Amino acid sequence: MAEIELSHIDKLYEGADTLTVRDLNLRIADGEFMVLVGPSGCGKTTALRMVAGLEEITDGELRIGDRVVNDMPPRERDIAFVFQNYALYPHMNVYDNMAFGLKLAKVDKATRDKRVREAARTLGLEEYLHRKPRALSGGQRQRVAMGRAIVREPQVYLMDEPLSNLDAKLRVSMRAELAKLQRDLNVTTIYVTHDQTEAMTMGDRIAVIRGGELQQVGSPTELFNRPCNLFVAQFIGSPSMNLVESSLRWEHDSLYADIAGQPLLIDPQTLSERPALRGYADKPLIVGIRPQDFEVGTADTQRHGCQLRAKVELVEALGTETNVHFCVDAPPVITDEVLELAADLGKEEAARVERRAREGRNEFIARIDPKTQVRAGDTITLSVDTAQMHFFDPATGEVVH
Amino acid sequence: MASVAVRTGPARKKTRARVSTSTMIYVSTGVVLSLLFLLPLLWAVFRSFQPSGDITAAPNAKDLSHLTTANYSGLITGSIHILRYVANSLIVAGGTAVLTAVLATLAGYGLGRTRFRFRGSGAVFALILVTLMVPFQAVVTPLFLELSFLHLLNSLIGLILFYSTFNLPFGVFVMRNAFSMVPNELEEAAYCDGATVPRTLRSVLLPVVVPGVATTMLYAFLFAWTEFLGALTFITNISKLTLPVALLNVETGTFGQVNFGFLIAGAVIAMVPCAVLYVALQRFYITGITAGGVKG
Amino acid sequence: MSQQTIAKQRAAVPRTVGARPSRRRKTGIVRRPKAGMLFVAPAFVFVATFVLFPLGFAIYMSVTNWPLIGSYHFTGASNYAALGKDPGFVHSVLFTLLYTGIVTIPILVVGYGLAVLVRSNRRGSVFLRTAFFLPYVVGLPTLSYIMLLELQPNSGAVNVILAKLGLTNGATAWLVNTNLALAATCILVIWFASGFTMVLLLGGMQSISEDLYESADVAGAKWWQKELHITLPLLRPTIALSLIISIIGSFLAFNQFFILTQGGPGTSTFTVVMWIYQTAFVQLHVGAAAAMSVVLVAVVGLISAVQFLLLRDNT
Repeated sequence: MAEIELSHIDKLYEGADTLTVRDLNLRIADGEFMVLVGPSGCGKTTALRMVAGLEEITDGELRIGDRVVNDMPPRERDIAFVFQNYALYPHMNVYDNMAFGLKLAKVDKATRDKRVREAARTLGLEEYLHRKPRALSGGQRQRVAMGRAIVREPQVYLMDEPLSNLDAKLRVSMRAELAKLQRDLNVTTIYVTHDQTEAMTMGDRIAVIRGGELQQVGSPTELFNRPCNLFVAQFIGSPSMNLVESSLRWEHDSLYADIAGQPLLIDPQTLSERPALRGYADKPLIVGIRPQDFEVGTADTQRHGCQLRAKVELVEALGTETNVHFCVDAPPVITDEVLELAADLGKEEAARVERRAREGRNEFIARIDPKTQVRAGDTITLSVDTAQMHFFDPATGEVVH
Repeated sequence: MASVAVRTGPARKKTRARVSTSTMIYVSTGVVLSLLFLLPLLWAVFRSFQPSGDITAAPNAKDLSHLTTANYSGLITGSIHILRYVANSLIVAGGTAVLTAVLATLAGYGLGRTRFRFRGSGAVFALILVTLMVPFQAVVTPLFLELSFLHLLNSLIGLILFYSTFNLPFGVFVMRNAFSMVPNELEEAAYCDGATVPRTLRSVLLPVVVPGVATTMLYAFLFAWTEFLGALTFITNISKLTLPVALLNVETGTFGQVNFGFLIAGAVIAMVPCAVLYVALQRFYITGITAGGVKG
Repeated sequence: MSQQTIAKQRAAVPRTVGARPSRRRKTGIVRRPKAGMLFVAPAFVFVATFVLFPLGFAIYMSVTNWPLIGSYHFTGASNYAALGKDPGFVHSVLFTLLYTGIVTIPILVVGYGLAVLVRSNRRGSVFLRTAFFLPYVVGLPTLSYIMLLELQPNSGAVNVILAKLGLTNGATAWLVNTNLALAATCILVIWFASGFTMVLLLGGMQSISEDLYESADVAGAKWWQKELHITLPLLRPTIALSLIISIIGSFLAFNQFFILTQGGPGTSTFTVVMWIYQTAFVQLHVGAAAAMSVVLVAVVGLISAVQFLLLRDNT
C-alpha cells in the first residue's frame, strides 16, 4: 500500500526533439484506482513505464510510498506491471508464471503455493495451473497476467491497456471484474487506457493526457460535468459532446447564445458561476451540449430560449436509448482537438470530420428516451437543459469560467 | 499431381475413384523413391555385417545369411583403433557444437535485443553474414599457415576453432533472430517480477531461445562430424584424425591391406550418429534451413 | 466564424508540445550499447581471425612467391598470369564447370519433384521427407565410401544390378574411366543434394497462401495449371536460391572426387579445390595456390552478390 507522487516529470526520448511527457504532476492516493487516458501516442504509457522503472525519468521526481525511486530498477520498486500483450513466460505453465516473482523474492515454498492457489481460485484459474500460456484463451491469459501481479502483493499495480486485446464482450465483463478485484485488494493502481468508457467505468479518478501534458484530473463525474477544456469535453462522454460556434448577445437583461439563429438562454445560475461569460457578449465562443441534455418536446412559446428546432437526419434505436442525429445550420467546430481525436478513432472518422468541415455541416446527436417515436425526416423540437451547457474560448480551447 | 489434388479443399470433394488414383500415385512413387534414397544406406548397414571376403567376392545367394560382427570387432581391436577416431570426432563435433552455441548465443543476445544496439551493430551483423559467402575450401591454404603459426596444426582444438568459425554466420543469424523475436515485454515482465539482468537471461530469455540453440548446435555438430577437407589438411598426425579422414586411410591401405569390410563398417559408424541425431531433432534442422532460405 | 479563423486564432497561442507526437519504439530498461559490443566481440574475433585474416593473407600471398619455408618476395600479378598457363588449373576449372553443368539441373528437378510429393500433410509425408533428406545429413564422405564399395567390379551392387539387368557384364571398373567416374559421382551427388533442395523448396511452397489454390480450383484449374501459374512464379526466388547454393556447392566439390577417384585417372577428375590442395600441399606452390583461392573466392562472392541483388529486387 502506498501513495504515488509524480512531481514535474519530464520524458525526452533519445534523439527526439519534443518531450513525450512534460511536467507531469500527479498524486495517486493509497488504494486509489487512477486511470491515465488519452489518444494513442499521448505519453500515457510512457508515464506508466516511468513509474515502473522501465523507462528512465528525464527530469522530475517520482515517489512511491516514502521513497524517491527515480534511480531504482523495477525490481526494487515493489510494483507489478500488467502488459497489454500479457507477456506471459511461454516456457512456464500458469503456476510457474505466477510463482516466478515469489521465487525471486525468496518466498518459501509453502507460502508461494498458498498464494498462487489463492490467486488462482480468485481468478478461476485452478483448472489451468498446469497449462502453458499458448494453450489458454485470451481471457485466461489476461487472468494469468493479473494473477502474476496479485500473488506478489506489491505496493502498486501498473496496468497498460490490459483489456485491449480482448474481444468487446469479454472486455466489458473483465472491466467490472477487474475494478471489483482492485477494490477488494485495495492496492494503489495506475491503469492506462485509450478507451474513455473504460476510464469512466473503472477509475476512482481519471487523468486526461494530451500531447504529453496533463489536461485535467478528477472523478469521472467531474470530468463529465465540468471539463476544463475542449479536449477533455470531446474526449470524455459517448457520444461526444456536440459543439457549435456561437455568439452571445444581451436581450432584456438575459444573455443568449445564438445557435444557428435560435437563441438559447444562458441560465442565470451558470452566469453567476461563470462570470467571464459576460466578457464574451458579441464575441464568438464555442457552446457544447451533451447528447444527454436534449429531450424531445413540443413547440412551446413559454419556454423560449430552451428549444432547438431541427430536422432529423438519422435515428439510431439502441434499445436502452435512442440517438437522434440532426443538422444544425452553423459551421462545425473543427479545432486541433477535434481533428486529433478523430484521427485517433481511425482514418474513416477523420475523413468524416473533414468532409463535414468542407460541407460546413454541423451534425448534432441527441440521446433521447427510446419510447419517443421519431423518424428520419421529421422536424422536431428539442428542449435543451441549458443549465448544463458548456462554453469554451475558441482561441484557447479553455472552458470559460 | 496427387498431392495438389488433396492439398485444397474443393479437390477433396472429387469422386472416390479420383482420390484413390491420386493416393495410388502418391503411395507408389513414395515407396519407390524412399527405397531409392534409403536402400543404399540400409544396404551399407547390411554389408557391414558381411565377412570381408564376401564383400569383395562375386555375390552369392548364400552369402546373404552369412553375417558376422567381425568387421566391427576388427576395427575396434585391430591395428586401426577405430574408437580413437570416433573419440576424436566426438570431441571435435561436440566441442564445435558447444563453442558455436556459446559464441552465437552471446552474439545473438548482443545483436538481437534493442537495448544492446550499438553504433555499427548492423554492420557487424552484415559482416558476419557476408563471411557465409567465403568458402572455407578457398582459404584452407592461408589457414594452414596461420594455424601452424599458432601451433594449432595437428590439434583437435585447432579444428574446433576452425569449424566453429565457419558455423558462426549461420549460428549468429539463427540466434539473433531467436532473440529479436522475444518481445521486450517478456524481459520487462521479469524485471518487474524482481529479476536481475543475468537472472532474466537465464530464466526467461534462454529458455525461450532454446530451439535456436538446438538448431545451431545440431548444425555445428553435423558439420564438424562430416567435414573432410579441413581435417585432411590440418591434421597430419594419424592419431589425431577424425573419422571421415581416418576411413580414407582404410581405403588407401595406409593401415595395411585395403579391407572393404572395415571400410564399410567404418562408414556405418560414421553414418549412425548423424542419422540418429537428425531423426530425433529434425524439427530443429528443418526450421534452420527454412530460416536460412528466407534470408537468402 | 469559419474554421480558418479558429485555426488562425489558435496558431497565435504558442503550442508547447508537437500536436501529435509519433508513437515511439519502446526501448528496454536502460540501453547498454557497450555490453552489446562485448557480447558480439568473441564471435567477431573468431570471424576476423579465421575468415577475414586468412582471406587477406591469401590475397597477400597471391602476389608473392610464398614458399612453405624460406624467404619470399613480391611478385605482383605474376601468380595470376601463370594461372592461365597452368594446364592442371585450366583443366580443373573446365572439369568443375562440366561437373556443375551436369548436376545442377537434375538436382533442382529431382528436388522439386520430391518437394511436390511430400508437401501435402498426407500420411507418410513426414517419413518421406526424412528419407529423402537423410543422405544429405549423413554427409558426402560417408556416402562416397559406400559408393566406392558398390562400384567395385564384379562385387559392387551397382555392377551386380547392371549385370542382372543384362546391361553390362558386371565387371565395369567405373573409377578408372574419366567419363564413368564422372557419371557415378554425379549420381552420387544427386542422391546427396536433392533432399536439401527439396527442403528449401518446401519452405517456399509452404509460404504460398492456400487461398490462391482454392481460388484456382474455383476457376477450374487443373493441377498442372496451378503448378505452372501459381507455384512456379511464386517460387522463383526460392528456386533461384537453391540453384545458387547448388552451383556454389558444385564449384567447391572436393570430398566425392578425392575419395572416389583421387583425381584420377591421371589428373582428369581434379576439381578446382582439389587442384588448389594439390598445388599448395603437394607441389608446395603456395603463392600460386593462393592466387587460385582468391579467384575462387571472387567467383563465389560474385555469384552470391548477384543472387543477393536479384532476390532483393524480387522481394
